[in-house]
Amino acid sequence: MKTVLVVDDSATMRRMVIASLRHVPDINFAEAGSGLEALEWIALAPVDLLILDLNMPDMHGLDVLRFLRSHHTYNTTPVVVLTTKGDESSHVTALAAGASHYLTKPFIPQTLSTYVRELLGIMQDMETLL
Amino acid sequence: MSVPDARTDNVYFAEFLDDFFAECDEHLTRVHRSLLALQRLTSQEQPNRSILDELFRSFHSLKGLSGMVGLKESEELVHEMESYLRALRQGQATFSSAALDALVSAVHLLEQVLNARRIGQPSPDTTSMLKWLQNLTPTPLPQAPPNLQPIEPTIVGRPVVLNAEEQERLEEALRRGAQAWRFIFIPTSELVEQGISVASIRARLEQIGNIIRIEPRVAPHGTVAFEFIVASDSEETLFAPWSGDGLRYGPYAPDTTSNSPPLTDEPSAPSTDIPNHSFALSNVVRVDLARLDHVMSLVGELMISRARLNDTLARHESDIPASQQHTLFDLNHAMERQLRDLREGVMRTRLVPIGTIFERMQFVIRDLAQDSGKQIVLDLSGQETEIDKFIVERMLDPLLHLVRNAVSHGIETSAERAALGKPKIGTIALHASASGDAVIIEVEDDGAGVDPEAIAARARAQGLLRPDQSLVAGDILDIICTPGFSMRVEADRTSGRGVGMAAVKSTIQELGGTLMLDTRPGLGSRFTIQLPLTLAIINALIVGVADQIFAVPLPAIREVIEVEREAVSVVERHELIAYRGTALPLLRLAHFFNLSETGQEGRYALVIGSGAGAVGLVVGRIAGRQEIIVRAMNDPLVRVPGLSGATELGDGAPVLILNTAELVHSARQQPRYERRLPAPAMPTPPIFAGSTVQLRRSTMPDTGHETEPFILFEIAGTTYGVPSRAVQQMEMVERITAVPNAPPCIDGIVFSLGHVIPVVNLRRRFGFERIPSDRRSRLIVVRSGERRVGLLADTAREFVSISPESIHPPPDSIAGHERNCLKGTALLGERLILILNIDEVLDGAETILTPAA
Repeated sequence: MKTVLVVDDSATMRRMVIASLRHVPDINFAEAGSGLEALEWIALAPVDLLILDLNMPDMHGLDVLRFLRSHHTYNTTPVVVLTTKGDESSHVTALAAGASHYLTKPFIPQTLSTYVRELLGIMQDMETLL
Repeated sequence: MSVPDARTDNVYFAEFLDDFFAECDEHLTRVHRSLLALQRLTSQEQPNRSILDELFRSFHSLKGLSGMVGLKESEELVHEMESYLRALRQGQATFSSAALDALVSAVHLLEQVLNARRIGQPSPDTTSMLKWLQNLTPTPLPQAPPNLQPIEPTIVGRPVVLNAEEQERLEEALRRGAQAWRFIFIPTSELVEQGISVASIRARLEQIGNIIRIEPRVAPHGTVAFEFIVASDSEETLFAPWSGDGLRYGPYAPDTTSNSPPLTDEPSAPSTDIPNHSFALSNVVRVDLARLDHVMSLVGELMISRARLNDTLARHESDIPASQQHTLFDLNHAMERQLRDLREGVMRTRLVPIGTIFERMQFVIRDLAQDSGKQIVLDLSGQETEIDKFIVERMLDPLLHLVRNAVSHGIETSAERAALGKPKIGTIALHASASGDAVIIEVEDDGAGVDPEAIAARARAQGLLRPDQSLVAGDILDIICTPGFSMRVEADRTSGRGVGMAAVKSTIQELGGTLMLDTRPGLGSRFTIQLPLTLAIINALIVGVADQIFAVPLPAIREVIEVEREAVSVVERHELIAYRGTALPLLRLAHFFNLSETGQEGRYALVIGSGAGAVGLVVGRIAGRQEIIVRAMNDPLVRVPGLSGATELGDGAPVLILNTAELVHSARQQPRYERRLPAPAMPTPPIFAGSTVQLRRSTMPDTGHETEPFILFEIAGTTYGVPSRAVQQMEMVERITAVPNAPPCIDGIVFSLGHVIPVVNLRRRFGFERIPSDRRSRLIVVRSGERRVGLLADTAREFVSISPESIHPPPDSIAGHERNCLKGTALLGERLILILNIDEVLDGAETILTPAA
């Protein structure tokens, strides 16, 4: 089981992200409503991948990302940055700060699940089900 | 069905629409509050950064969410507002009252866009608003690249350095007498178990002052720490005890060159006697109204069971040993009392303050006053009065109408007021108060009042009053609430846009409330609305019509009278009966609902409404009076005129609740209802049962490689499939209550998971003959957006996984109407499976029979 931490200040958006990934096998979800809660979660429990919103109150997603990358324990944890249309300029910034992938809302659920599978090394298993 | 957005799978996210609207409402409440704060600024003041930040963040979230559900209009509107705010924050745009007007109007339009989506209407046009907003915003300058410096893995010890904007906020707070503090919190699992987390610490710190900056830090041993810089004017004694909760603190020296004073010592083991009451954490839980409805209906069921227990006890009183009687009856009474308390407790959870809709009136009055050149202040009181969430939402339009009327017909222009010796500025007062089980809302103005002579003249001109009749004071309200009555020849912007006082009154009546008017010419008017605290449980009269049972809300019934056949006279196809000196028109429910009158003929009439608007609803028998739990019946498949919802009386079968306002309206519009036969558009039975079909190679777009689980079921020997993610529930077919005047392939309604579910008979839908349900029949409850609909199938088969590439277009032998209902076909071994297109199946089911004109 891998743990995916979904960080967004909108509860609805977190549920949408989780719904996009519901067909990915063997993952658990954790949710954080702010950058602070995300870092707290990471400090206290293992997290295998983050899906990170950028524009959040208190602490910008980029600050969360930069902190993770500067910390010797978390500098390899994959992070998919998810942000809203209009912030495209932060694309390069996010990748430069160490984001593994970058997606703009509205995102295509399949793209997100492909990124997550790829980053977690979960292969698709098509034949077993039919 | 809207065309799915090619880029985003908005159908995929349709199941989140409830959440989406709930979250939009939260953001809009915040947006309204911020806009009000902006409005209070004088022309010299520049808006406070924190207001702009909050507005910006709400718009940003709304944009992201709108995009996800494919609501382009709202996404674009919010994007433009966000762009303006961004420019404003960066000093590239200026703040003006014109810009504020644009924001207020754009938010108003945004609400209309959201509302249109909510009720499935096309969105209002946003192009001119988008242009208006774009003109406010200068072309953005290239943004300075954000700080790319990696955070130095700092050891807790050296304080964080503030940026210019934070420094400014801190200095401003210091000028107002606050002190700067530095807090360090290191979360641990033990603390989190005690409920002490970074979020709760943040909430505490927010209570004592302004949080200037939060910075993540690396503590010794590589753990994560958080540093908070807070400007606070609270006494240190208030937060000193928090050091027991893993929070260290010390003064923060704004001058970064000097050394910051040391923090308090490492905390000792967290003690348990820390006073927690000095700060308020957020204790609010957001709950879906449907869940509360469900709890409420469980309480209702419990009450029904207790009523049965009570009956049984009373019947067997003599069989119970005397020694036990006392205990049993005491227990029974205790349970009755506790149930009543439980019911009240659950009802309280549905209550919200009425202030949220009062505040919206501020905008309305501001806009209208500007347009009409009148000066008006709004006086609000009792905003904290609580009322059922459902009622609050339904009352928005009626209140808007009353306020608009007060502006356009009530308050005079400043010049007129001055001439009359009244204060130049008119006052409109909205007042709410609770009284027992009722809530009273008053809308009062100090304007011209209603002139009885003008009303009488207009009523005579419209034939509502005979020329020789004069107007009695109590009639004024009846007349202005008559459908079609208007004081204006042409509708203007502020009133008369088709809503009308008739709609105001009927909404209030539907909610089980009353409307009163007190008006004095020259001095003003006061409308008093009395509403029940909650709608979920109402008193109802249970009546029989032909062989069906209906519930009628008791507050709507004025009187029950007996109908003697000899006393009924027929005038131009209207049936009339003498009633208190007037002729009361009768509406026979058996005719209205096309029920065959095998039972008794109508013997009683329920008098609904008063004065000239009264109507008698003719029913066969009166079965009793009962408290019922109301469940809404909103699906278009069963949204039939004259019915408002359903309830259950203890045996699980839904009982339909009459919508008396609609019935009265119909009775006054149309003399008689004739049965119109179903349009013979029923499809002919196809085709594919058992036939071999040549499959073509796929031309469907390749949407991915995942397989998807499907549920298979059978209708007339053919196997159909629906994606299991669309299926909410599958159940045995229990008692279905027929809904009169519903489309021909609708068998009726059932209750499932606390909702009223329309039942689509798939046999009828596909043109096969209806067969009686048996043990093998299954009701498959599917979700389509916000709708939940039951599909009645002969039997359910199994779950299978089907990959998208093995789904092919339907073979050519299936044509036209049938073909639309299919998404495609799949071969599973030898078996052909027809994959249903649920939206098409439902859309096509919707040819509702209307009463003959």
